[in-house]
Amino acid sequence: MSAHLAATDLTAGYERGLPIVRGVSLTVSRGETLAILGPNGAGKSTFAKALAGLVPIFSGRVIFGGDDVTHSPAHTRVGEGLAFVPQTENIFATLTIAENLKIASTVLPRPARKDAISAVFERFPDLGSRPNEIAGRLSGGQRQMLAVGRALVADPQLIILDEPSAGLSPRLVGEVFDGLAAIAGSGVTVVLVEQNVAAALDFAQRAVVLAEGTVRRDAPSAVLRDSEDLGALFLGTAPEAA
Amino acid sequence: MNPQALVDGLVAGSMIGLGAIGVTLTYAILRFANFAHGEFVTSGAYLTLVMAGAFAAVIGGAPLLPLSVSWALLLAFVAGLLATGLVAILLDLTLFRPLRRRGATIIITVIASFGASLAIRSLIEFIFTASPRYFSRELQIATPIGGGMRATPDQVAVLIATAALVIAVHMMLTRTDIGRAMRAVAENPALARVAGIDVERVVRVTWLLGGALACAGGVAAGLLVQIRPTMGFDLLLPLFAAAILGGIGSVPGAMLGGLLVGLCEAMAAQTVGAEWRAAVSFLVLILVLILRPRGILGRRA
Repeated sequence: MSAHLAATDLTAGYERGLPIVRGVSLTVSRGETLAILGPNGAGKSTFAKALAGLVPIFSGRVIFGGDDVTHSPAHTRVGEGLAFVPQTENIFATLTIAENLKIASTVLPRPARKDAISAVFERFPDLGSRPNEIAGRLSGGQRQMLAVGRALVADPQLIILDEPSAGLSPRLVGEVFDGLAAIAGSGVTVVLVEQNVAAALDFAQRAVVLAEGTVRRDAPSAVLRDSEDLGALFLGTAPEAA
Repeated sequence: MNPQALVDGLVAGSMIGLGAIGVTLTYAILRFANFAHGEFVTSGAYLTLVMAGAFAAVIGGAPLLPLSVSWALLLAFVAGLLATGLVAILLDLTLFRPLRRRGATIIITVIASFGASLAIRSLIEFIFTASPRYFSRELQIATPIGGGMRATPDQVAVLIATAALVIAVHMMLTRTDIGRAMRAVAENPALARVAGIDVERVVRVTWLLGGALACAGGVAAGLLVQIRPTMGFDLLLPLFAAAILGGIGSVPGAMLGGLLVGLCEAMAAQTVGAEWRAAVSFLVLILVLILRPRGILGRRA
């Protein structure tokens, strides 16, 4: 498997001099499912946003599909096949469901747009049954569907999701992970930032644990699940991995 | 009260509404109150005046009766829309964009717009002097239009043109890719970026549109009243009152707010005296901010 996305010694944050992500290096292979875990404030979301182009990168590099995208604007990364689903405010609440998807479809050539939107409606019939509903009126689970659907419309090769299960009921969490498995099954590389460690380790082939903005562990999910110091890693008290 | 206030109010309200749409769009998408917006109104009127003179020298300036407007002025108006939009983009490139890049606070940007307003107004006065100019010296006679009201052909034309422009802008915002992108950026710029929207392009279109509509308001004011270097600045308070009354970010709201402010002004001129006209916008602004800060069509923050 070739490297699909690679971060090299990445330092990023909102203010220069106050880096939140500090020297993170990791690679994701094409078609792989990777979970990024870690305690609150570990820099997981900031790292995901830096990969998507939303947070300034102070040093290091991001290579996507062989191209250096470190300083390319967020909107051009979408066209190149890198999709990002933020944790909160991840839909346009004042626009309709169809408008949310139409906006995202504009990175595709004109003739391909309608089919891309239809494909999302087929995947999420709950959305397809009422395209003209204002997105802000949707329930938590439906919003999450729309957020993921919005990212899928652009026909991504790699999708980064920031805590897609946050705030959902256990039943809906199951549905979200089933949906992610289907996306991964279609050959899309999936990078998942999660607080729900058990569900994330069940879903992903590999997991990276971040704490205080640095990588503390990078291992197959099965190995990490059985590791005795998983709790300590989360508290940030385990020593850095060699 | 004299029913004529309705005609006067709607005509004045059209000019205010056209300017207020730009104010509301700039506020929604760039998140600051642009005090230089009145200067786009003035620039639009003067740019159109200069081009109308040039076109008239080539194709003649005979009015299209019963209007006072000539083909030369109509052509100049279309060119003026574009030129004023480009002036707005130029101001963004030279002033606001560098501030955005540096992460300047809103108050710095607002004060910068105030400075730009002063500079542009002074420049216009320097070039054209403070004495008023006119598109045409044609005498317009107000004819009865029913209900005890009278209107000049130019006034009727301004009302129709305003309605057409507002409908066109509304269609653009709701039916086109760039319009949806503008609404997306207004709601959530970060999400817009990861949805593949080029935010800088949306910003340019916003200036182009705001500048063009301001030009339309300026040409209407020039046609029905006169062209002066302070015409836009004098409109600034009504523009903001209209945008806030309608609900900031709402294009139909800005137009509705403009018409309401215009009507209030016309009624005040008739009932308490024309010298109170200017105080009306101020009163409307204060009342809205106290009673319903999100405006008529605005969203809850």
